[in-house]
Amino acid sequence: MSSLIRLNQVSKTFGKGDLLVHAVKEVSLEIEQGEFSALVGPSGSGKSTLLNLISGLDQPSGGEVYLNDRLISEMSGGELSDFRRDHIGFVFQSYNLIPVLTVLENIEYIMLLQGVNKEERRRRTLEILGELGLEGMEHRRPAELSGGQQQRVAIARAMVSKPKLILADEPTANLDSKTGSELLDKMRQLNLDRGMTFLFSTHDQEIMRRARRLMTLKDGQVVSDESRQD
Amino acid sequence: MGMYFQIALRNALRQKRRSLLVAVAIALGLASMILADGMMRGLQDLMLAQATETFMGEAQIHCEGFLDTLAMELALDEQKALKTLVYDHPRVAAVSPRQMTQAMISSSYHAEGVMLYGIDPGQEASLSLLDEATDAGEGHYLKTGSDRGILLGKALAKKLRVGLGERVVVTAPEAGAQGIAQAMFRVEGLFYFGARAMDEGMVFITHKAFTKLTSMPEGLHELAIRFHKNEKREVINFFAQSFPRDWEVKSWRQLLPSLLVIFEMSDVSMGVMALILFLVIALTVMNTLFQALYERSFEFGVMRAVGTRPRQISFLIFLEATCLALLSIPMGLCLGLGVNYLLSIYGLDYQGAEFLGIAFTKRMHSEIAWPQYTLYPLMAWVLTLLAAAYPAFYAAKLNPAKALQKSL
Repeated sequence: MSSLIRLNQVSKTFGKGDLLVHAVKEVSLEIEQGEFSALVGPSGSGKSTLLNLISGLDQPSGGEVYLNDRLISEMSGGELSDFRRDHIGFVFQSYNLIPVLTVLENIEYIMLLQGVNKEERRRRTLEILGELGLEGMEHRRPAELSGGQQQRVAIARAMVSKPKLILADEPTANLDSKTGSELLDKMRQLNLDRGMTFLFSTHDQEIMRRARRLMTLKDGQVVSDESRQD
Repeated sequence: MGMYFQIALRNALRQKRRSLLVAVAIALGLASMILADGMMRGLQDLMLAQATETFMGEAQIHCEGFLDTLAMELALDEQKALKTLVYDHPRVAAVSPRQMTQAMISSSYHAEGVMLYGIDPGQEASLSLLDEATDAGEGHYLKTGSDRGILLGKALAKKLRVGLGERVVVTAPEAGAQGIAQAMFRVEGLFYFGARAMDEGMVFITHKAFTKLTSMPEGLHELAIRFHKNEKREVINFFAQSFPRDWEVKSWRQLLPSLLVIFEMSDVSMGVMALILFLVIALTVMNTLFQALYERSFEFGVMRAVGTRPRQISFLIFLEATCLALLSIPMGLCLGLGVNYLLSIYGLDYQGAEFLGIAFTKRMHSEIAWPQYTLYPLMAWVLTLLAAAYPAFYAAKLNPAKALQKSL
């Protein structure tokens, strides 16, 4: 397997002087293509900050972040946007669908940015909606869906552009355990079937149990990195 | 583009009350501009019409130097040139040939210096409102060929303490001589223009009487001209003709430079008013977009996270501003043009007012003109876009990681 993500002595600080906070301290790690891994640790340990740095949503204060061997800290805002659009899918804790768009439009949105033609967009959207059990909900707005349904739409949106990496920040935090478990099954299935790489940031025991690799963060540093076999 | 427009439109309609209020503010601003423009045009037209139609005409021809000296011998006498260049010109609607000199009019009670005009009553009536002003006063208009009748302003008659049918003596210089001539006239009519300078300073007799009084040979001192209506405010080919060298041909712009200054000042005032009005609208739009931006910063963070480029976010903000403009411009147009249309039909009553020596004797009707439904709506749209520029720039520069931490 090739290395998809490579972090080299990455740090992130917030604030200045006496108020300086080290959110991430000199973290170095590599994540291979096809992994199903999780960043775990208590609140404030730096999990979400690390996800933001990996995705290029935020710039590191020190060190280097490589995604697919590209140094993302050297990319411009536009290049980073294109890079995220083509290579990274996001699933957020609070779903974060565009409220004025329907389920269908939310999922098509990324493909629209990618310049995929209308027929192909529609075909792929309906296919993924079928895979995630969302048939018949195409024309609903997010506000008309349950939390679980919204998160499934968010996963569909993250996967439909066929990214190399899906970053999921506490994806089950707002879901009941049954819905959360079903969604994790779906994601694991996609990981196995399509070889998509998943990186979670979580407290959820269920995710920790299923993840094949657990990286534990404490005070901005990786204190343990444990891989498991199926 | 289609989906961006859908997102923008739905976002604009998301907070319906707020969007409606902004749209109404833009619409009111646009309607005010349309209305102010219509009324300003109407007022300018009324002033011009009153200045030119009352007596002056839209153009005048004099012999060179006459207006400075009022010398009797500086008369236009090239009948052929007058016919071909003026009377037969297709743009000319009416012409009034006038003789004029400074004179003194006296009654048994008082004497006043006046401008004495010798006119052709028929041609004068076709050009100026002297006949109507006499109808509005007392007595009757001059009859062609009358050699003893005279028209005075009511105000002058009051000063002289004369009434209809009473006699006055006019003293005027003789043409081509150093002497003066006197003649007695009977007051046939008292005119009322409403402008003091005219009602106190002008008297009218016929050409025949003028020639007899001053012994003036053939010729005239002033040719007042009115053009066909649609040519009124245009630079017309009439002035491009080759006139004899000793003629001074002046349009109302040269005859009434103060009116032109007033028009320019009113245009500047309109510009300043437009600027202030549109500035208020711009700030309202900017405030609304910023409010929406703060409320939706998490959403913008998500959009950036999934790969929307900064300039696409800006584009979305501009589209939202365009949606606001699209909601408000039809409202503003309907309101502005609707009220303007009503004012163009019913008008406003300024009758009796006098400004710069111009007496208003008609209602002021506003005017509907093409900039009101093309330029002003376009300005409103461009301004809305300009107002959106800062919020759009701000949204494009949002740090997605920080935006994702914000939620209202």
